Amino acid sequence: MPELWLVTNWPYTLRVVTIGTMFLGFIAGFLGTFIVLRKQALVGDALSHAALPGVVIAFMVTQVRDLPVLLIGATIASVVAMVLLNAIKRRTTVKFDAGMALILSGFFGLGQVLMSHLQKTGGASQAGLSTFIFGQAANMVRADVVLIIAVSLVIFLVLVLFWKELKLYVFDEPFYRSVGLSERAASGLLTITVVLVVVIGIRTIGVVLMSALLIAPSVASRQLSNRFMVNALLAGVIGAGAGAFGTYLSYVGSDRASLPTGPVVVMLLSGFVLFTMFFSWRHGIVKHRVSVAYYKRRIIKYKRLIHLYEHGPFSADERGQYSQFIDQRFATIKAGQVEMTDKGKQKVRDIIEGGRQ
Amino acid sequence: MNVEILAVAVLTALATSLVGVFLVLRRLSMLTDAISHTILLGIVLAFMVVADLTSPFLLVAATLMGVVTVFLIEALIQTRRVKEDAAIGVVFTFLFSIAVIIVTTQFRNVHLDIDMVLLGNLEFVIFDRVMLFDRDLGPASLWVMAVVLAINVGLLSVFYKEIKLSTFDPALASVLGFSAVLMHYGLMTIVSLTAVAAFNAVGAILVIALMIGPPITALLFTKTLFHTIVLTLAIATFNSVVGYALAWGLDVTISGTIATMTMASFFSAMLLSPKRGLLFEAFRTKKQREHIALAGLLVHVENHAESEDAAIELNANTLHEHMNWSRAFCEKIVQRATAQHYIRLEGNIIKLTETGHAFYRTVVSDSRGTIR
Repeated sequence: MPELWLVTNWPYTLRVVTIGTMFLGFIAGFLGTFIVLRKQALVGDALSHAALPGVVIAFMVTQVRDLPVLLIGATIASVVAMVLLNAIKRRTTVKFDAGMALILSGFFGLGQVLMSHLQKTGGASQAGLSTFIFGQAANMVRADVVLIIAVSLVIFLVLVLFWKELKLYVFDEPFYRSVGLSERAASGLLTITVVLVVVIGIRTIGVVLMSALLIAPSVASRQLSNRFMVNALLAGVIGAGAGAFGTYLSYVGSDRASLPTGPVVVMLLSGFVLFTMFFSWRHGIVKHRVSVAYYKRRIIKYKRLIHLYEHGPFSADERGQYSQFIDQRFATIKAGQVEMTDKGKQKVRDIIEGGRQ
Repeated sequence: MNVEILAVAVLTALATSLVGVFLVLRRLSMLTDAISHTILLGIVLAFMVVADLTSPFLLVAATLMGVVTVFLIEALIQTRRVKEDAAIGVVFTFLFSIAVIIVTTQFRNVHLDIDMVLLGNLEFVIFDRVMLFDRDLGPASLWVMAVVLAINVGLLSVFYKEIKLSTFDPALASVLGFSAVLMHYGLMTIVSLTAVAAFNAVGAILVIALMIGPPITALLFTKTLFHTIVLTLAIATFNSVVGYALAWGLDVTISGTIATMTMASFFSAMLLSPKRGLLFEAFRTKKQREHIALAGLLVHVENHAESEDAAIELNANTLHEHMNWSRAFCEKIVQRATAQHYIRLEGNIIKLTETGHAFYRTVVSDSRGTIR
């Protein structure tokens, strides 16, 4: 086997597939930031399952197995699912997640019905469904990758173009509407872009794991930054990195056993999410624990001094309790009373404000 | 039609929708999505230990894995670094990926089809039968589902009061000393058990429809918990019987048809429910609009009857401009008012009749309280 550490030594297929998963990972992570912040993380999951009947109908009508045809079918089905989901949300008291669960599995059931009908009349084999559920990155050809790149670039440009409006929509919807912008336009734009990303992703990574590609990168990037722009771009980079690295790993690993690309990518992403949750320098659990323990210790150590700061000065009879602080020049004895010095006041402010000067 | 398949379908629908009521009310619907996928990992891990696909240990492990899934999701939410829905999305895809990787790398020669787990096959349940002393006691799935249904009914009727309280007023339940955690995990254990028992027959993805569909359909009609449960069970039975009949008639997959039927019955209920259905609501809105328009017309006529511009304002040909209505709508309302003898035409000018005056007074006193 040639030295695979060098990209230039990679076989053609690996290069093609890697580019495809990279772009897919980028756009899924980037777009995922919006939907995760809108607390609609599982919409991608519902829409990807809902695409199945569209794929089958597209095949039944055209008898063609080409990717673009099936994608159009999938897109139509997902859009119909989203319209129904919105109707449930607006017109009934049914909660959004319950509506999502119904649409997800009802559409999938419909897809299976159509599929079984197709099998009976002698059409597609079961393999089609299996590919739909688990994806098959290895079968990606140049045309697929071109499609993925085109779709992700268009979506990226559109999102960047409407950045200001979408940001407002995501963070403060009432204000967004109050300045006269259309709620329908924003939710429609996000929906249609999610549908497109999900649809191009299904073939690569599969229905079940597509939602991970949308959700996990933005969860990880959220631990690393508080800025929306940085978040979205970072999520894109994380998605792209996991996509590329996962493809590479599953290719290298398939000498001994056939490692499916999708699950490997998802394992990498989940691992990274856990890692950032624990070790992020910004919001990480470890950092949080350490700093809490540090401030707790300081408060215990200086609690007498804090007491003096808040309720003092006290009579010099109590100087015994403050001798340590008097030695450190945080407190002093003036006119028969124990008093704070300026240095001591600064110190206490430091402690009780948790280090935020 | 095969009675045994139908019985399995109905029992599965009953057992799943019963626990589904509480999932929906506690807003945990999408947890079923997570659980139904991760039980695959439980099965795979147990299979690595016992190496027997028929061992009941597999089902135990799968149930446990469902509970572990819930636990991991809760743990992520507890860190307050991830929102609930994102936590679900991260955890179940992770566990599912592990399962898929194990299956594809370790068990390539074993008949452990992921498709089978995800899709299920109600048609084949009759081939796996329980035999006791050479006597055929019916399909194994029938027994499994019957036992699970019995467990669900038993537990829910024993703890009905407690679960009702903790569902609708968790704060009060905690104050009264019912552990919310215990309640949550207890419920999630039977949800997991039910999902595991059902996925054999209908597959992991369609279990979701069976769990969530009937309860949310029932909730369109009912307002009390007991009515909701009764109606849910009725709808679940209806869906599975009609779904099976359709599948049999069209010769297509049974579980898929039942799931489709579940969705279809929800949307029909949404359109046709007598109190809150969209069609009736649209009809009622139209009625109300016409009623208010009629009242508005009478007020307009009364206000201008004595004034100098009466000839302009009350001209039947230009009235729609003054009321700011479309011509068709205006004609319709005038016609209706004439038919009920509220107004009459003098030439082209509209005048109130005595009945019209009486109606005008009820309208005005309705809206202005007791002034007149």
